[in-house]
Amino acid sequence: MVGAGTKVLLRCCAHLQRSLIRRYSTDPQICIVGSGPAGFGVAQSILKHHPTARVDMFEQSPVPYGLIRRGVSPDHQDVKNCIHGYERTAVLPRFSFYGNIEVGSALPLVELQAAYHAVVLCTGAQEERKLGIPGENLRNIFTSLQFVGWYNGDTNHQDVDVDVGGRTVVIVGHGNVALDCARMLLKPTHMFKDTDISPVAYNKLMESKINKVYLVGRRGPLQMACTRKELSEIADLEGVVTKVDTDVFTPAVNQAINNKDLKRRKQHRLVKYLMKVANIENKHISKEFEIKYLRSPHSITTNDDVTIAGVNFNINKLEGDNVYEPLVTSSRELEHISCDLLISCIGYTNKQFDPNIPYKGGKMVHDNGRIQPGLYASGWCRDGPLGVLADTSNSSTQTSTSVLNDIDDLITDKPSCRGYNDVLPTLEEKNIDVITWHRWQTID
Amino acid sequence: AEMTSVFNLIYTQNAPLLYKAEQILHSTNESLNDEADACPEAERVKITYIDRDGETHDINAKVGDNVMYLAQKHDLDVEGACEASLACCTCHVYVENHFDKLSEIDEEEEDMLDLAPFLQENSRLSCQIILSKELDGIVVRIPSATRNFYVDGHKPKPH
Repeated sequence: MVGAGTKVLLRCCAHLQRSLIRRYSTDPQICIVGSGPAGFGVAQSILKHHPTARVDMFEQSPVPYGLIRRGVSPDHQDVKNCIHGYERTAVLPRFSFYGNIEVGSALPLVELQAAYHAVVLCTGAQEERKLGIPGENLRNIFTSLQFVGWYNGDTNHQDVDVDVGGRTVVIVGHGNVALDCARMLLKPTHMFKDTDISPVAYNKLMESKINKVYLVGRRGPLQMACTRKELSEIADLEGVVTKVDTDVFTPAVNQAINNKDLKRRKQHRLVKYLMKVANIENKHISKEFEIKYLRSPHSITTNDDVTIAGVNFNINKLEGDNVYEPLVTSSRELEHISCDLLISCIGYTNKQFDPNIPYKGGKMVHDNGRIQPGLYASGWCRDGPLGVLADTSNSSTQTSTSVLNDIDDLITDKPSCRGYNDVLPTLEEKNIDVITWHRWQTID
Repeated sequence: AEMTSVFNLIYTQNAPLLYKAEQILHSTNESLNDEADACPEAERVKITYIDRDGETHDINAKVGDNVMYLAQKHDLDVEGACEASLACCTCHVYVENHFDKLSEIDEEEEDMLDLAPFLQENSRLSCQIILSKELDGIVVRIPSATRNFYVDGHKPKPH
């Protein structure tokens, strides 16, 4: 514990420095849009490296943290440890959280830009990619956000009703989200008993007799987007066999995984691990987890025009010289897989945040996070919806550095920004019920 | 205007300390206590950190100290976002010597290292390195995560 005397001394120093600074310069007013890992990463970095900057964080939902809260499985609670750091940031005097404010429609971006010296967009990726195939609207077909929302008890997806009464599930996608969904169905449900899994989902899964889960992707093992760690959580499950058609481990693949390129390390470790654990049968197996490659969804089949009965897949071929980024060609050959439930985990997408922000290939055009002086972006909204926490952390460090480099010029250009006080009239006029941090903590 | 820039320079350089002061004032569990000097020779371990600017910091530590938490305790810029739970790679460091004396790396640490930028052959996660007498004199270098890190107030020349 810090002694009382030290605390007083620190407080005096901080106060003295702050009051001296106010006599000679303007406090930068920074606005961060989005309260997920990207937003908090930028906030932490700016507060740490600038002695007087004020950071206001706007979030469209009444609750903060974005995907860290909504998208993490009940059995992955340690990923949420970073929330402790966010909580410490949220109570700092130079930081304020304002929830339930949608920037764009309710509060126009141009108004934020006028009120703050710098605006940093950290809004993530809001929409899911659709399969775009016939039959997609039949019963018992869900996107990953819907299915994950269902087992996490996300209030946005309270009306989602997943029927887990069948035997076979097809999951489209080879990323970590697809693995999360598979694991929820393959792991013994009682293991989720003391987690914050939705009680409705828990009860339904306890009754479920699902014993076959397909994980289907359109390319090969070297293109799988998932990570070894997440795969091992399923492959290590007792009573579950991981099946793979070993034909996909071609000579080219075998050669690639044995080269020492540190940049490809993640992929090599993943494929080597897969080869090690695939197809190990024993008499205690009760569930099958089959990873299928080279399959693209073609159409959904039904027996009664109401509920899904199966999926037709095109069979693909990988060609070209680049074994990591091959050319994918589709044959006309179809393969049908019967199933009772379909979950598509094929990634997210950004819709254009604002017409004035330039995009190229689905990503914002920026220079180290700077779109233009005074407007910045970090995380998925900027570079597309790919990457884990570590990548977002790197992105936020880069962006906050750009903000800090520009800050003196930004203050010179706009000496009279008053931050939140400038946007308050608009919020009051539109009757927006702003959720402050304190209020959210009482709701939580 | 001169006064402004002088003050800005001084306070920008001290900003990390002010931030730390703010954190301490608003937290309940921080301790600046340092007991390494009071322990017997057999338990003393010398460690040198090389920070992002290339400056060396010689620290007198003791057997059992965690290299990540030790760095943070001494205000060195090593992050630990997941609090040593092997769920991130923000405490990534390069081990410049005694690399083969470190305890064997396990799959979980390898999984997180997969995600670290600027990975090298001598990369490890500092939250997994516990000091032993064997590691006396160890030198650990903090990687620079970005290339344009001007927190000393340096401004690129206008063009």
